[in-house]
Amino acid sequence: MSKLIFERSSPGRRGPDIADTRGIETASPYLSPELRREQPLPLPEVSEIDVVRHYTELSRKNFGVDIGFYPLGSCTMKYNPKLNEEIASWPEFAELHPYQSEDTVQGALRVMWELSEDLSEIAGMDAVSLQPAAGAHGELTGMLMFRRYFNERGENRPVILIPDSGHGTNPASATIAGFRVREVVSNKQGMTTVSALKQIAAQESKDAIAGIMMTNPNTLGLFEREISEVAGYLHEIGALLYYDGANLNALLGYARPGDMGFDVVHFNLHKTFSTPHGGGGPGSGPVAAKGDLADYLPSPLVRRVEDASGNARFTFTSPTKSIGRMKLFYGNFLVLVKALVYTRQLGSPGLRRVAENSVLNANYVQERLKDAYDIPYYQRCMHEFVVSARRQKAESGVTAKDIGKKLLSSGVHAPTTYFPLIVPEALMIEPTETESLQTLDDFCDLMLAFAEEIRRDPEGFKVLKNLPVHHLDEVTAARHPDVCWGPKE
Amino acid sequence: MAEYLYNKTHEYLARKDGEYTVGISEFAVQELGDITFVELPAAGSEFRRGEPFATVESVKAVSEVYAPVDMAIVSVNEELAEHPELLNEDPLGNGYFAVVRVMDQSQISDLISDEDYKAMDKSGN
Amino acid sequence: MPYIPNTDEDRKRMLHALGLSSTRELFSPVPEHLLLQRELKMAEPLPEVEIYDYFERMGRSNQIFPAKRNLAGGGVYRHFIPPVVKELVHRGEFYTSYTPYQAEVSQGILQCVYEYQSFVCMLTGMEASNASSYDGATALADAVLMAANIVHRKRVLLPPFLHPQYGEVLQTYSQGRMLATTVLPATEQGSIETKALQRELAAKDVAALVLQVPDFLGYIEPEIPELAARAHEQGAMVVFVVHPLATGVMKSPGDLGADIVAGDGQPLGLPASFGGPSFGFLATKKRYIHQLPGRIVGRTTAAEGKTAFVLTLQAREQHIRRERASSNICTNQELAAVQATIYLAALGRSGFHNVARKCEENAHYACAKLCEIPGVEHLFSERQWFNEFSLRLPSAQVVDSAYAGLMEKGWLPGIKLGELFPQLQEGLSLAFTEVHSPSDIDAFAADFREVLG
Repeated sequence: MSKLIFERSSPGRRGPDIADTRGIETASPYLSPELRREQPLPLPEVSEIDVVRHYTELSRKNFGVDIGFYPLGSCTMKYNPKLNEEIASWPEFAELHPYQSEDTVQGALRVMWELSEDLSEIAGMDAVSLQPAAGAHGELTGMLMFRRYFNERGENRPVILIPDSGHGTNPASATIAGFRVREVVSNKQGMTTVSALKQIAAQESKDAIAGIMMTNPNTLGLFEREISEVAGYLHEIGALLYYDGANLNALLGYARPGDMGFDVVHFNLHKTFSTPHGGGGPGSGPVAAKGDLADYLPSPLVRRVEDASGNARFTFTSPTKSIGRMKLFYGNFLVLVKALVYTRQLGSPGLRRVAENSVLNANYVQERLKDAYDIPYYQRCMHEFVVSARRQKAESGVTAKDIGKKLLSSGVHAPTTYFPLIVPEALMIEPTETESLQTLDDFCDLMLAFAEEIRRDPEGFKVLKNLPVHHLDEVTAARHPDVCWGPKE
Repeated sequence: MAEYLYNKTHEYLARKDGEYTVGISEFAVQELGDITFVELPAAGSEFRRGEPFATVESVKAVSEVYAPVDMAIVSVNEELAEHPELLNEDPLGNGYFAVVRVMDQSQISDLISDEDYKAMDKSGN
Repeated sequence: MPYIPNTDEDRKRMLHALGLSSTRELFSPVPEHLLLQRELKMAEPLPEVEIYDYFERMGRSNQIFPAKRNLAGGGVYRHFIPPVVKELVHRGEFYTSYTPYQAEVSQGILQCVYEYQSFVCMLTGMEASNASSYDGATALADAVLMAANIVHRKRVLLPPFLHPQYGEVLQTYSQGRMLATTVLPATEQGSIETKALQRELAAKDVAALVLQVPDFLGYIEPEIPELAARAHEQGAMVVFVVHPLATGVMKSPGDLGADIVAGDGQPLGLPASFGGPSFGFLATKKRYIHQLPGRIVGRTTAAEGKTAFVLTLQAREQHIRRERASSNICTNQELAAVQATIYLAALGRSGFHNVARKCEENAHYACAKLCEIPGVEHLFSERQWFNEFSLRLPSAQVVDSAYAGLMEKGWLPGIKLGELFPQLQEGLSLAFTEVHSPSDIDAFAADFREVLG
């Protein structure tokens, strides 16, 4: 490993002089002795060049989309346009203070309004809140909206349905919003069916079901064919539908959650709308709603009004039955700017090309891998598909994890492994539309060569080369957590 | 010599010198793999038979541990909280979870004997 | 089409391999009645040059206040950000990576996060930090839910001048868990009424006492250790919300009695960004690490005895514990946390001290200077504070006219308190940092004097 920044410290070494230091060397003269810090905190003492080399070195130990192919299923690791980054860094956006008055931030409100309009149209919804900071944050927002909606109507509906192929965040979000989760078992084709819902309704009573959280295409990469019937049935028993937008990339301009019958939707701007994942964030998870549900969105929303002479003005409003505020200020605003740059650059035709190419790329790779690996739910997939290494495991003792690590050592990021839970030895592959046929062919060639090598020499296959570290001791890390550096006595 | 009695979810109730302890079976520990953390209940808390009273974590999984009988926690095994590896090393001895008071002695006869537990087909669980 | 490398020829070959003749056929799994039969109603696509024009136009309808003329705080402050910070955090290797689940190819970001957690522990006096929350307000909500889980109680005591939006977010988050909040009354000087605190705590149903240091108006509770001790005596936990730079001049929250510390990281090298993205920090004592929500990075060993970093204690999290998880957070604000890490490394021991002291120094100079103006009073003159304070003007109307007048002179003159706290109609809060030199402050004071005329 690289030394820690703390271990590069040398007493007396200094970074940039930000402020004139005369007269402030001492401890605070303003705080009482009970509250005052007497000695500076033991931050590292390094010069600027130490900082530059340290973090440059760390960046080189990291894999990003800018480095290579990243087919991480359900994460939509598409290219992050540099144009987005540049525009979001302009002082006209980055230096705005959230307590400026509305008339001094009309441009920012316009960005928010235009993005809200685009997202509403893309999802077939009526209104959007841009506040949630991430997908899971959007889910929690949606579940709190469901909760408030039923409370207002005097209905006690404690149960949320979640298909067994759902994201792990779904059950956690529903529980934190105060619901109880019932898992819906997929049928043999990997689909959620009305009959599965009816079975649960028979056990729980129809009036107990608040709604369902679904991803469509689901995490097997398959379009839920019965979705209209599912929506019809749930609405008939008074329940609602929540759309987890993690997989929306496949459908841009081709199909809309609103038309499928969903009532509330979240988007992952850091997946579908090309904003970067940043090593785990910041993302952005706007939530959209249809009909009555729009009244429950978190506040504030942005509204466009016109004065007498027809000039547009943008203003913050609060929905009448809003669940309240989910986050400080207006969400991850700079991420919103990036997403709007993207939708403005692509427009409707561009977004449709995104969907087409993401689906084409996934189907092409699936087709090339389908003989060498099992694909338990093989059929026309959408933007991703799930391979199982169960045959490799049974015949040669090589697991999905081994294959993932081998890809890492070959300069390709691993697919999502062991998810969804309903596929044994799962490798979930999402190429995205920003990869070329050549990249896909290289990947397929590699995977086919792996299958061959696993048959021939499984033990040799498991030997990892070219990785800076491997076989990390996760057990000791969890048993005796070392989670922060402390100065040695 | 302690006497071990089990339930179908692989928890045990052990009796030694008139004192009862609870824990999980060797089979359960093998199934769970390397244990990284054990969350123990507070002394004094009471649990109905079948109610979860502790959780066990491994790197990639978490499982609940159920009360084999109605019981009150007399004291917990602090050593285990500090050193979860004890559960892998010695589940029936130093890897016990807690000393308990059995609240309904009649439930003890519903448990499975050591011999029957060893012979039990566990594949269904 | 931008960002799609496949050519028409490529597409033809791929479709051929699939036995298809058009891309439309790819969507055959979607029932016909759900296929959109029209284009989306959106603005026409624009080439890059016109994108620039388009966003420049929108940018122009925002008013940007130069750093020296921006005196608004309320949790978001205008600091100097050394260029080295932006340069490093913007490396594609960092910002185009996903959550570091694959430790083998993520040692860079994992080590950054480990360093981040170490910095947070250092500033807060805690022993375990998560890898970030969404922002200060959600970090507070996380902290309160965590305390409620630990002590199995459902009521929370809030200080009288908690940041209003922190209170609102906490309220929203509390709905699912049915937590109740009680706002403590204030003394005439705006600090917590200790008798009332004692009374509330005596009910023995309080999960957490929340202290915001400094609070929204800028003030620091005078007897923090005593307040914390009282809460502890009655079985409540003590949650701090802190301004991270204030820890440069103030004892660590851990030394003042905190069990959990939350806060917003914007002051640590992040631009104001109209309020986001920043990040929330959340730290606690080691014995509560299993209750701490969010990702945590740990240091361990790898093959050949190498030291390495890995996401640890994952069994707490939603992707494993699912409906039994205590938090649903997945994507967090990692890159913003890395930015703060680089900022803290660049400042170092003396730089951090200096920036914190300079904020304090400039703000105290400003307060004295402004209070010389007839009609301007310090709101709570007996209190201690860091870089933000509040003034009392003769009336709400004077606040409005002074604010408007100063805006016209190119200042962002703080925050009008009447809009946020009905009892403070005559209040105006102002924040100063290391970027506001005494001469800037003199110029502001002169303009202030003039608009009060």
